[in-house]
Amino acid sequence: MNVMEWINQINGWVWGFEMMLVFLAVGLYLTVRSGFIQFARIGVIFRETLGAIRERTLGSGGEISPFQATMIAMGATIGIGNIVGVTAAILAGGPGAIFWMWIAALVGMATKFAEATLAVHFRRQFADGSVSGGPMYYIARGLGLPWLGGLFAVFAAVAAFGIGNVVQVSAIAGTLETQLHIAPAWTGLLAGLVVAVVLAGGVRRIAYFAQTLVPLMILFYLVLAVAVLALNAAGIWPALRSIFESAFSLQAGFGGAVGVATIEMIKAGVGRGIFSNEAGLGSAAIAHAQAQVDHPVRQGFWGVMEVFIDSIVINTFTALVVLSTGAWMAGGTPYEVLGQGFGGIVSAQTLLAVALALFAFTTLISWAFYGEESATFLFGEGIRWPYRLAYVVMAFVGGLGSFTTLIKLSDTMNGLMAIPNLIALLLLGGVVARLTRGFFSGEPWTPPK
Amino acid sequence: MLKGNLSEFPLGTLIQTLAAAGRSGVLVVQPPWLEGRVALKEGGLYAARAGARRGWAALELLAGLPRAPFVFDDTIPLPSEPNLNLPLEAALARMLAVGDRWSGLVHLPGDWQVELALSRKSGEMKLTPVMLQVLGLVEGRSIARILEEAEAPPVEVAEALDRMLGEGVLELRTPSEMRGEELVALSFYGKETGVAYVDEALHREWQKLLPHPFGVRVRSPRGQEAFFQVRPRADIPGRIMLHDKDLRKLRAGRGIKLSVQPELTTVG
Repeated sequence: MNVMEWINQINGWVWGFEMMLVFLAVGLYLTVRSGFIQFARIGVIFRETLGAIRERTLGSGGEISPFQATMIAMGATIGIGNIVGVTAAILAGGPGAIFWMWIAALVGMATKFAEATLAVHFRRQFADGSVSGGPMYYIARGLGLPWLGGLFAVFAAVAAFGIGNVVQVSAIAGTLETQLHIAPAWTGLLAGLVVAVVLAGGVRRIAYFAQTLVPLMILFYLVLAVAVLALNAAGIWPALRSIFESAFSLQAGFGGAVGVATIEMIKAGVGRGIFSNEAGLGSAAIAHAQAQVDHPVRQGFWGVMEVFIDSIVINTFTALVVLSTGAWMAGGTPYEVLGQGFGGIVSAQTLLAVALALFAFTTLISWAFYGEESATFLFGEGIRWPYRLAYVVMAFVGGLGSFTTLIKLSDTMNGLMAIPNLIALLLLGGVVARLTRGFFSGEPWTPPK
Repeated sequence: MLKGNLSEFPLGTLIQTLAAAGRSGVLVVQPPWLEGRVALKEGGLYAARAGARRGWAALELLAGLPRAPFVFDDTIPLPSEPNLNLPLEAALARMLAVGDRWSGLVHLPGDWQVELALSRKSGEMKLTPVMLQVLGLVEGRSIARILEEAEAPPVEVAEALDRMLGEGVLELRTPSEMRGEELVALSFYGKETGVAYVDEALHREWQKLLPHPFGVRVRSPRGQEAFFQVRPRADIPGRIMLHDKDLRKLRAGRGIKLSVQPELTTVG
């Protein structure tokens, strides 16, 4: 068995159905340990996040505001998967896949809540006031297993180059070449330059960039989707009905027994619900750890909101466009279906291309930060500039070649990040429960020594 | 030389101890707002003064101090003329009785530097002659000055002040240098309502200016206001933490800028 076959085998396992069940099980466990936070405290979560959006900073002990930290995280989680991935899930499992995506997202909210909470609780604060946190820190400090934290950091630092960099630059270059006839070399050059300028400013500049671009990008996409839905208003109700009807019907696949297609539908939906928002992978926790908050649970609320916006809002709009226009019924690749779905209004395909490019670009920036923080955990502060330089170079060349092996390897690394992270979440569930109880009892937060 | 604090050695006990030892000298009591001196001659009470008060009135005033550093110095020359001519046992018995009256006061703060003012509250209250006398002195004066300057015996003045503070006729005036703050609301949850948390540094700053227990009056942009007990909390600069229910009562929410004014409380 050669290296590529090994990678493929591990890849199939880490992104497989059994692993999805592990994600769900951990999410359900954390739902219970947090007192069903995403349901029981939904009002508080909205008030503490979207209701407090006007706030800029809060307390000390972190470098950026909770909103900015969440925007960095959302810059990474909201990607082309929210458009292309959702379409692929519908093509693979039918409209019912969206229902199962919602269910998985609801469970994922507790997972993301726990990740963000633990990231703040176990983060390290340095003499200059800066902080570093994320799964590598809560694994090392919370479980007392620095080697396992190091393993997570290795996976994240490598994954950043592929899934966070080359894949995104390729997507931007491909989209801009097809729709706007821009040569990939120019796209790569521009991407490299902008990434260099943003990364040079450290986390504060990344935060400023994310807090400006990510909300605009979400708004841009939602306006585009609403415009398409307005033209197909008659199809919205049947689309919603098809999601629920299809979710509970036993379907037969082509040539398969009754139930096979149902399982495919659940797999497609749950898979999208889990992987779209990255709950369980641990990546977003690196951004959440940077937030200036007086209590970790307050940042946990933003974790829940992140999943809500990613999987419940954006993914649902994509699904409604694809379903209400009937574009999915003709089949084809996700890009073809999307082209048809968004083709109803003038220049919609071009605008979709811009949205896709923006989604990919914010992912590129956020993953740079994840990779840099992970590398710093492993090698110390000295690695920051070499890592940034390598990341910029990769962003430049990312649009020029296919880099199949690197992408496959980083995809596997991205999946492997979940293993140490899920172990930590499972073992630190008690800490999450204690912090949640303390917050709702009005107790002040005491960081661990 | 004997040193200590009246919070540990009440004045009556201290004088009794010095008298029993037959000591001569001057007991100097120094709270920040006045100086008191009690002279003893061969174990007998010889003279006393506290600010503008002399003789028994001075002793009565000093007996009301819950805490103040003191020094007994036998090298300080005694005053030329005595102003206390009570037998020791009778003086101690009277001091004990006066001490009981002082300890029965619940609204008068222990910090006598605090200024008083007439409140704007309306209502009815039957005024005694001492109260009328005190009302003429109140505006813009500290408690210490009122106790010194009123004609009535200090403990009677203190009782009148205490009663009028309790009835809301008088209020404690926040020092003019105490500025209000614009703080951003942050919510907390739990059972404890009616409490506001501010950052430790701000609380310390307020404590320096207001040695007496204080709370905060919070006003929302919609004109609602309420008074809260205030406590320090780490890591919330620029913030005021209020219970979620209290915030709703103020028709405010997290992230809203609230006007926060520290105010002295009458119950210590």
